[in-house]
Amino acid sequence: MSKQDKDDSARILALLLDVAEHEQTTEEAEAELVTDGVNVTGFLSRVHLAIQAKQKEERLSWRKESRSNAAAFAQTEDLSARYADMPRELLILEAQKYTDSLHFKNFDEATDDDLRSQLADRARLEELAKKK
Amino acid sequence: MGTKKVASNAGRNAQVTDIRDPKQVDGLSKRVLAYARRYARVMTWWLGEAGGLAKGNTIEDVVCKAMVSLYGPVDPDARVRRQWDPVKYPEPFVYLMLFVKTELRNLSVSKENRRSERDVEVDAIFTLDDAEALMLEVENDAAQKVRVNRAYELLIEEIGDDQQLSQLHDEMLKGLLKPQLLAESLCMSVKDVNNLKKRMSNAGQRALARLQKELNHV
Repeated sequence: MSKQDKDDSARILALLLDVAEHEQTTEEAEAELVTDGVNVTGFLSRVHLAIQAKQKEERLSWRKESRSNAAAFAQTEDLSARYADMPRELLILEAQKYTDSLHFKNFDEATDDDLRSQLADRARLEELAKKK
Repeated sequence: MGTKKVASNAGRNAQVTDIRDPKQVDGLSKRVLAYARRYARVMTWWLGEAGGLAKGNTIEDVVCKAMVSLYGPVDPDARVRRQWDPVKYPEPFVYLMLFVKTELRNLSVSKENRRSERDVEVDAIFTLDDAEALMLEVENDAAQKVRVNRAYELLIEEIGDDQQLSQLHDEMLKGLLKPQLLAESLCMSVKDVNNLKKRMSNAGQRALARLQKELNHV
């Protein structure tokens, strides 16, 4: 096929495709479909069912994401050893660096074990974020 | 309730289709299906008039998938996730037209829709952004070229002596598509241009129907 032939064919194809595009009301579209023998009611039922299924899937997607996050977290290294022997004063100092990301805000009332597990989990999440 | 828009002017009209309203969704679905059927008719399908396109898809499947993509990603595991971006395409119909064009184009160039696989190693995958450029890319299959040329001859026959359609044809062949520009060029109102385009579309559909009849008799 010569370049000229190809260009001509491309222009013709583009024209034919453009011709398929024109302003149309819903009523005109329906009339066209009915004339073509399309089962419009059946088609619309199918569309609505598919949309409902997608909406349900989207509503439940947070669970999928939550499971996936939990699985990814489980794959990270346990960092509790990092804080295991840390005395309370150091634990509080360490926790004060991350006040935005720790659940407990009143560190004086938190037990040493709570502080250790929170700090270890935070460190694991940080590692996970780095990998992502 | 039903909105009246096309790609060319949808962006400017204040009323945008509300996809939370089931009645508007019905209207949108009908308009997209009618458009998809007209568009698909221009392309060559191995399964011909049987209603199937390729890869087990029908036109209704394609439109259904397009409609679903307004509410969340379709093919979430695919390389290209497709989902409506209301910022990029405020009017859903404009996005749906692009989705349909892309999907039909991908199916038309898929291995399953080829008579010969000699020059095809993998299925081509086009994205929404390619759709407009793809319209200008003609299939290099000789049989498809013959088909496109014959469809064009029949379109010219359908246009016949109609001066307005002939003028519109000339302008469209030059690549002039926007109703406002066509209105200026043809010295008529945008409304008249839209009506003329409708008549042109009908002529195109008649030409394609005649072509199909001819092919059925071969």
